[in-house]
Amino acid sequence: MSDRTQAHTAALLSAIARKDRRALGELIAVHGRGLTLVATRYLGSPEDADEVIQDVFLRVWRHASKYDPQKARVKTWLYRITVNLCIDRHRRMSLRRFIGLDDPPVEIADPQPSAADRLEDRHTLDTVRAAIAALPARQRMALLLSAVAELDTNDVATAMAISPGAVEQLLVRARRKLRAATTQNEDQTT
Amino acid sequence: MSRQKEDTDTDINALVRAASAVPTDETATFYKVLSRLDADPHRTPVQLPSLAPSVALASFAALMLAAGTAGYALPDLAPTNPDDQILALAFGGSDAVRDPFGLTAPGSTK
Repeated sequence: MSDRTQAHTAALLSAIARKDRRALGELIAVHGRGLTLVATRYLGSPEDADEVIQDVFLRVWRHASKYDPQKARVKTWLYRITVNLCIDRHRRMSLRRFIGLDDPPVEIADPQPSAADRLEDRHTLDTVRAAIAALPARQRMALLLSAVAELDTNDVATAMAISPGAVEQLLVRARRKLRAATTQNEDQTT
Repeated sequence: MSRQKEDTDTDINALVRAASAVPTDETATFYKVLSRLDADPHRTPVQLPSLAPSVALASFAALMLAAGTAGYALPDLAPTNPDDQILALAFGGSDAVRDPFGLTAPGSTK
């Protein structure tokens, strides 16, 4: 994110702290998609992700005045809130699944694939989705924050409240597993 | 980090991004958040259930109060102890109930 965008987002947050609803709408327009994609892929449930993202922006609305620009960029702060709420939701979902109240998550694919998303590409993407879903929760979150949210290692570390070294380890393991899954997929298709 | 590893990491990231792409509706999210803000309990004074008794509960309480007051107002309808009733059956009569062993009877030396 450029300095100009960061300054604009910080200004939005100041306006939200003064209870400006239009600023909240603009913040959702800027960051809502990225947060939703990470939450959806992490939780494996669009409905749960939708609720989590609403909760994220409700928290932003209530606590915008507590944001400290010295500690993190706005984008990182938003992902930090999202990570915390996703972890809470994931625990509750796991418990509900354990006691039989919920079904396991279904694979979520883009229902409207682009023209470039050909059959073989779709097969590869299905493999990647399954591999992401099979990753341990922390590896999955680190990978999504890095690849989808495009946060650098330090920001991923801040969002997950772990050290940059731990993030590197999680990313190495996650990518290794994904590489193995896609290689296996290529071997099967050839 | 070697150049080749960077390339493969970039490839993996691109795959993850592509696999994570789903349609999103930020406008819908905004309106859902707004509706929850308007329904936010922080915006309205909290009304505890105990402070808002139902009409049925209030009527029942008034009835019990009236019945209790009326009961104590009648001379011979004072509440009786179940033990007294058992003693009355055993020794007979209300005097026996009040003094089953005749301890306070006239002429008693005890």
